[in-house]
Amino acid sequence: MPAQSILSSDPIAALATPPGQSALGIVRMSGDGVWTLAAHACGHKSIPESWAPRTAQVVTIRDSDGDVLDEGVLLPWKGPHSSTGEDLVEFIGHGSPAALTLVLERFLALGARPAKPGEFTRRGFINGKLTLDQAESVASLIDAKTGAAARSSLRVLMGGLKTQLQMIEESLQDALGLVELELDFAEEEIPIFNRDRFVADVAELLDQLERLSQHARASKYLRNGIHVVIAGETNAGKSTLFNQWLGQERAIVSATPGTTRDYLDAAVDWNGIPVRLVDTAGLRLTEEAIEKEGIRRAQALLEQADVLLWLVSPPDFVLPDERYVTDERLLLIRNKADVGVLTPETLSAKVTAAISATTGDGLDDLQARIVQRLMGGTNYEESLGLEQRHARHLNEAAEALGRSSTLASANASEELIAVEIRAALDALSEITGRIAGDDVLNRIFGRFCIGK
Amino acid sequence: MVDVVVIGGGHAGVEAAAAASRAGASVVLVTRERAALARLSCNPAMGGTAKGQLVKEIDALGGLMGIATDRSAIQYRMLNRSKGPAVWSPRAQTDRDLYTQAIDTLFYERYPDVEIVEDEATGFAVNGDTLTGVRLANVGVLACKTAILCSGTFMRGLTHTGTVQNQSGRFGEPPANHISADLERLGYPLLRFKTGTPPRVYRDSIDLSVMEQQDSEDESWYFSHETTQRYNPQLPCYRAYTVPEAHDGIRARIDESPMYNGTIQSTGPRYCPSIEDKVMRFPDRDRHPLIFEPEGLNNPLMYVNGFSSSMPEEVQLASLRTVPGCEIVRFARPGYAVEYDVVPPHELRATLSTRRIPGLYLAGQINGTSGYEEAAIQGLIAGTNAALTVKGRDPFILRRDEAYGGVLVDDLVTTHPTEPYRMFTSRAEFRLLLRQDNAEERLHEKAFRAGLIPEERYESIRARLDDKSSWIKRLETLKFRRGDLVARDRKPDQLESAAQLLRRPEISLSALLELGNGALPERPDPALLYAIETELRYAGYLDRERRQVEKLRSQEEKRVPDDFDYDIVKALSAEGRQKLETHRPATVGQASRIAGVTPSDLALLVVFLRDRERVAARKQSA
Ligand SMILES: Cc1cc2nc3c(=O)[nH]c(=O)nc-3n(C[C@H](O)[C@H](O)[C@H](O)COP(=O)(O)OP(=O)(O)OC[C@H]3O[C@@H](n4cnc5c(N)ncnc54)[C@H](O)[C@@H]3O)c2cc1C
Ligand SMILES: Nc1nc2c(ncn2[C@@H]2O[C@H](COP(=O)(O)OP(=O)(O)OP(=O)(O)O)[C@@H](O)[C@H]2O)c(=O)[nH]1
Ligand SMILES: [Mg+2]
Repeated sequence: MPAQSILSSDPIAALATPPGQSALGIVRMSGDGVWTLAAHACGHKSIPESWAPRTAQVVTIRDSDGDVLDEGVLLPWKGPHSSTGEDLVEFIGHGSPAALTLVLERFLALGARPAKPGEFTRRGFINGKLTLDQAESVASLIDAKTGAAARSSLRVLMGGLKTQLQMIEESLQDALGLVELELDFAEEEIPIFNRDRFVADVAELLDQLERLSQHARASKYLRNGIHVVIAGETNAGKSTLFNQWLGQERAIVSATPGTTRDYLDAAVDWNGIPVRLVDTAGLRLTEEAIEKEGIRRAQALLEQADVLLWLVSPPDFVLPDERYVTDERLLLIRNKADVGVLTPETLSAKVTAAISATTGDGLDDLQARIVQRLMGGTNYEESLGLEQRHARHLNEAAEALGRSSTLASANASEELIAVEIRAALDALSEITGRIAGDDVLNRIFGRFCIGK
Repeated sequence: MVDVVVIGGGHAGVEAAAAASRAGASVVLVTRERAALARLSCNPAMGGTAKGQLVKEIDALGGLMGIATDRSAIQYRMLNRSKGPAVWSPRAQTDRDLYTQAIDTLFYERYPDVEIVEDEATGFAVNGDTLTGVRLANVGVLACKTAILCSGTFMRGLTHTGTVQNQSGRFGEPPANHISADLERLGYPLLRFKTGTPPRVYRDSIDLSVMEQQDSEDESWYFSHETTQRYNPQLPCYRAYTVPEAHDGIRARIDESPMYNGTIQSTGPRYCPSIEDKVMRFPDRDRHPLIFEPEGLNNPLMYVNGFSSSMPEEVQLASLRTVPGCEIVRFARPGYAVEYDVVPPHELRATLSTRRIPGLYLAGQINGTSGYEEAAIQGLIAGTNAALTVKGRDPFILRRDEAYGGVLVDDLVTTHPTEPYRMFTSRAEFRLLLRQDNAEERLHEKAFRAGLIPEERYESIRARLDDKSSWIKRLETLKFRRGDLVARDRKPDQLESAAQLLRRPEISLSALLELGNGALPERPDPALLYAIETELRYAGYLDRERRQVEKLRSQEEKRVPDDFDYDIVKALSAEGRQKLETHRPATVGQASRIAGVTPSDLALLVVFLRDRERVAARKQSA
């Protein structure tokens, strides 16, 4: 059963420039209503009157709270006069992978879906933006069974993962078979669909999917870097830690509280994983204007962090306020371990690591913990092939499976369980391209680079 | 000149003739023997999983099968009752003679204009690719505008029992050989399929008391909208099991089975294995279930469901005699297999007209399907389309999200059958939408537009649907105290809408109505109550399926002209081109379901179709 129509024009979005540090980066969005989506992303309620086809707009992309994600130029196109033949917008931003990813994610949050590899090209193709000659050559290119064009990074890099996915598909097909047997052969003597067994099997499959999702997440960090923000009370030793990891005295360190005002930002490399390290102004109540602004910026940065390192140190051991305490990204780090002050008992259980920013003790260990926490025990090499859209499909499959398991335990009828197993299979087939028909179309077009 | 000549009075043929007549055509039904009208070749039962839904669809489209089933039913059972409403499947045991009589009576009473001619059709008269008449053995050419061939298992029918072979389409009936030869002459390719049937035994030669009795269920429901009561007394079936010795006897003489010694080469249905198949393929099983089904109220015979066989008669008999209760069983006739010709369904359009000779339609077993219900719905679709074509009206095509009939025809025209095709609920990707309880809701518009149901019925269905939606609206807003319905609830005082509450399987609509008596003065009748409850229970899932249908709509509606020249699309893959040329899909959606058509083939097809439209538009404006 084809899940996606070849003729559909729902909004899709993707990075159009290769990931990595470059001067400029482009995020592209095509399909029905993308002008409105873009307007929303810029904080407008509707499309501003000044927006006209092919005229550059200087815009600020904001998150749902109105905070700035990136500034850049927006170029809107009206279908059919665009490369996809549909309404299209291009956002040209500052090229930092982290910022571009945020912009992309904002588009996705507003209703676009991640483009499949080559989907922009396919739409242009189907909407007649290529001449028939070109169409013929494009098609033969797509059909080329050999050669670099036919080899997607996915296939090269994730042979192992694909096998795993196919094994999951096999198990699901088996389970679906048992369910269908009950439904279609009610008159026969057939084995009863064993719900306990099914729930147990699904739990196992969900574990496997979770591991694969971890690969996908790892892949995202490998490409875009881990965003680590160091925060904490004034004088906790944030700048000292920042400098220590940087290997140079970049930030001013002093015993005066409130030394750091504006935030400092640096790129470091942790065993091949790019890390964006940010030192922030110590958070405290202050009336001083510059420091206040620094604190506001620090808080904005906290929102974007993958990891929030909160330093506590003697004598006050100040904890983060309410809203961060339960934040999953938070790691509580006890600094100045070299000073002979005991960690208060109420705190010690919550502390992830004790370090000394001055001596460097415990830093390697902390670094390893952060990587482990975000990327799990994944093999980086394998992870490279997994992309955001794969993560999304894995997630869809996991959600459908979760529902199937809930239904099975709640004694719901088999035909509903079947709906969810099918949904999971559909989601997986978007990655493995196993189902015949339109799904394979997407895979084959996948030989094109995303966003071209 | 007759508008529509239907050949073959089996399940496909009678529905075809009746539907063509309802849709306003003049009809002649040619069949060998009027007494064999809609004869049940195999078991005396109608419906079952997915098939029961088909019968309901036939009834919603004004067809005969539901009415005839009710008139001849001697046992009713709703299969899958323990499961959700989408897979509830009505099934009935029928009296085989009463069934044939019911069909005959329906023609007599309601289709007096359909002329039934007892004759054998031997071929077709054509002029180029235009059909001009049907050749009959006794009276020569019968001139007509369209013909529907529903020859069932009769084309070059060859039956086997052990080494005994007979040229026959069904026990004791001659085959139809000329018509096969004539189809070949006209260029139609033919395939060979096979099916089988179990022995018929004398009821008084078996001891039913040692078997497990299966009675009709008490709850009253019917296949037809017009039935209000059971017509006949109800009879039980009896369940028994084979024993290891039964298997040994078969195994010892397996090389006398025409299926195993290579005499029969053609493919039979995997879902309907013969007893020798079961024994050989599942050697670990030491018993197989058998059901003894009555052939009728006063019929001395029983049908041995589960014991289909083409072994020599004495092997069948010896094997069955090892089964407890069957020690002295006597056969009225042994089981047999039948081989017959079918036309590969890629010859068909979705109207069931053939591309080679558009005036010639095919329906039923001839298209590679098996089963009464599958045959009947095809007959109905073909008959309707033949009539509409004669009247120059739009074709009658059911979509996959609209009817099992739509799934069936779409599957036929997009796949190459490797075994007889039977309907299953799992073939329908929109299974929750295609329920036995909502066939009228799904089909009344199309049925009325094609002339298949009269205006009064259409209006009464509309009124009922209005009633249903107003009930649903009310239940969506009507609030109940949770504590009154949910046992040990944590928030008993919270108010929740009836619609919300019904998503819990343990809460029934009648319980809600009890409570809400003040606000809801009347009560829906049981059928309506069930329909409302189902709609609300499934709401989330139904919405999901409907969204999916919407998503695919543009693709399903994008038409490929029948004369599309695939040669101009040079980059098509070799396999894709061949498959597209063979199946000639009517829409891009259909093309996408043909195995071997690659995504880039599909994309190319769309580009060329757009280009064609642009050229046509330019020509028009010039
Ligand atoms: C031995 C046997 C076993 C079967 N087993 C199964 C089974 O296991 N499962 C299952 O689902 N179904 C089974 N069936 C199939 C079921 O009977 C058919 O699917 C169904 O009857 C097909 O309906 P139909 O209208 O296509 O043809 P039929 O019911 O076969 O009717 C064809 C009619 O056309 C007439 N006819 C044919 N050719 C001509 C002609 N040239 N001129 C005039 N009249 C003609 C015949 O006399 C007959 O009346 C079996 C059938 C047989 C014979
Ligand atoms: N003994 C000890 N002293 C430390 C350690 N880390 C930082 N310090 C000292 O603590 C003081 C504050 O250090 P900073 O790094 O400036 O602290 P900060 O958190 O950046 O402070 P603000 O920028 O003012 O918020 C300095 O005198 C550091 O030398 C440590 O691990 N051990
Ligand atoms: Mg500092």
